[in-house]
Amino acid sequence: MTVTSKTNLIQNEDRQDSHRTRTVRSQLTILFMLIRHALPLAALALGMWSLTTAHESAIGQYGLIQALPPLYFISLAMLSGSFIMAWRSSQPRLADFFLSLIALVVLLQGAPGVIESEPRFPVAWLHAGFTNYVAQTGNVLPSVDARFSWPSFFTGMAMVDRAGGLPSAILLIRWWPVVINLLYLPPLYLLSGLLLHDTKKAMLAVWLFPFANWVGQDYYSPQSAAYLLYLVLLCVVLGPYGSNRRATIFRHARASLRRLEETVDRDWRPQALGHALTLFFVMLMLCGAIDTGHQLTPIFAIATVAFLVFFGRTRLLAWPGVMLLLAVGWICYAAVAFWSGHLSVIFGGLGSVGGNYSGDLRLHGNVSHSQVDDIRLLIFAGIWALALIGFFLSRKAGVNRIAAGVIMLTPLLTAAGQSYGGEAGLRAFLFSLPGALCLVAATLTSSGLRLGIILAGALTTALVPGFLIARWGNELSEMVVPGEIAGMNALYRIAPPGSEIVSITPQVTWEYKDIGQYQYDNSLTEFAFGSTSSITAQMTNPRGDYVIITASQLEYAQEAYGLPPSWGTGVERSLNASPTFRLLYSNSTAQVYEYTGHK
Amino acid sequence: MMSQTQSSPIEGKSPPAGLRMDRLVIGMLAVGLSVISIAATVLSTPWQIRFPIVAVTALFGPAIPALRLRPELSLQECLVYGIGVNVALQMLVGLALVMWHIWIPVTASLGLFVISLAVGLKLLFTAGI
Repeated sequence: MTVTSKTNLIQNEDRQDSHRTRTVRSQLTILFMLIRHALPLAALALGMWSLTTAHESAIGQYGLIQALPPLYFISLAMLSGSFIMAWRSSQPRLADFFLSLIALVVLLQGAPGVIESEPRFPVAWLHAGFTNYVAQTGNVLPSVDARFSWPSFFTGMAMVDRAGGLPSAILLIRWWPVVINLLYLPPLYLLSGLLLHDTKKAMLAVWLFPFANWVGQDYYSPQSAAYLLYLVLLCVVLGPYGSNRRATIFRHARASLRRLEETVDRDWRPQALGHALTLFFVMLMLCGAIDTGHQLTPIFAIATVAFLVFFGRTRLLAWPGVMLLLAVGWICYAAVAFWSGHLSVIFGGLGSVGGNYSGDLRLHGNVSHSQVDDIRLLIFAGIWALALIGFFLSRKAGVNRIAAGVIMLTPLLTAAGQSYGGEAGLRAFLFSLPGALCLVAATLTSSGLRLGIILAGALTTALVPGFLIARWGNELSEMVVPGEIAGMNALYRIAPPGSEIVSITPQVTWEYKDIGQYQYDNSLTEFAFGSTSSITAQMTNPRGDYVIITASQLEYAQEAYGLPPSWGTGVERSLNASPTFRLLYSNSTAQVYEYTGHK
Repeated sequence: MMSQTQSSPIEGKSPPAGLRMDRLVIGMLAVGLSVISIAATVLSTPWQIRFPIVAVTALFGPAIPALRLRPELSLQECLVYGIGVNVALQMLVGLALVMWHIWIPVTASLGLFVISLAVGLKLLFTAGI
């Protein structure tokens, strides 16, 4: 063999080796990619399967977490690992990230839907009843409930239900939190990108949202849809109309007229007429739906946009005024039934910030309920503390920290000007989350990626049990059991239209059908109901009076008010012994009594 | 703007080729979903089939394809604004029907599907089909 042919042979072997190495490498890459994509899907499958093995009866004083099997937590750990892998790579892997995020939302929000035999939360049933009423009649009843003065959520859902042939909106309740939380993700991601100017930080902020959103306003409700519209509105306000001016007060005090003109000139971005009109239409639709759909969201939206204008974060100088006019216009035109005669209710809470937070019934109750509240406050305080640190650390990091700070702080101010009581504290935290989580992401990533991964992992690990207790901690009273529905259905069969139905605590699943045909009383003086005479005092309807007592009502009395477990049985015993009450229906979780004193 | 050194941009105008592809995909989805929804509604198929299709079409609705007609908006902006506008549109159209005492939800929904179909077709024509 000649030297040349030997050399050729060696070169051929080298080429074959290198080709083999490349092939193995590419195969490994494909395998690794498949594993990356499969991990969130496997975690989702494992988590859902584990939920099907959980028992509803295991739900205890600390809620759903007591019923969750270990494999569920393993699936959440797998998702966290998948997120970290997608997040740590030099080029963020958005497909893996969104797969993990979607699986996370389904597992966190869908757990009660799989475990519990009936869709959860009594108020969601009530809203389904309102939707059904609109779907069947094409009318609203503003005199029956204040929510009918802001009815566009119910009318919109009624329209879709009728077009889709849905027999009842109750069918939507079970999976609504999953769907609406999935819909929050795109605007949250866009908004986080606008505030943080960095894909990785935005990914982290959005990843933390499902864990931090323990507030529970995402059940089938007008506020859940209004929150989605609020997030989209912020995307428009800070996106095409975003700005980087000085705060108004400083502009006027310090800048000369020339400098002001220069700022405005620099800020001016010419738009095609069609583009401007499109964005105007988008904002008008969003604000119109928010203003007609929910009482409280317009206040948060107007205040936030106004402060963004004040701090020079948006060029929409006149838009807060337009939003205010739309909101006030709706209240004056269509919500008369709500505000006429209730001005003290509307403005009674003005300025009582302390009362609006400390007066919350949610902050009292038995030991386990107090511990659940403590965990909620801990998450609140932790996120806010990290966000405040992020506000100062991100000074030179290119983060739009002023806008994030405005979105975080403004909801707290609105708590001063409403009459929702302690409910406002929950809402303020929810509305502060988009801004706060962006600043948290800025904090976690301020010391580099490696430390950021450790911190993000640690925070996620802490938030998993935190979320599960804070969000589903009151499940004993918030879940709906089949016996209660059977009891309520029996009552609807028995009670003639026009009669009054009384509940001894507010946590009761009713009004999900035959809206407007009965009078309901679950006034907050319910604990005067401890004696038969005080219940009798409520029985004033000549068409008939009925009392329903359910397990959830009694659980709520213990959880929220700290009443002893014997309280409910005492009420039942006194009603059974009373000659003016007759037990009409009874099962293991519901009793229906008729007042016979009229006869 | 997004940090270019560490991360990929989160937003930005789609290049013409990307815009054309976006329009093709969104246009086909709009047309397909609208046609299926109209057929399912007219044929009164069982709600288990009809409702999911109608709900997805309502969510995708006329706004996402309509916004994709504007070249100034990125795909992400179109999707986010579009979802918001479609939800708002359902709420406001339903409200208008109730307030004007003409409760014709199925007809109104069919009207919205037809608008989606028209906008989807327009988008496909704009994309060069």
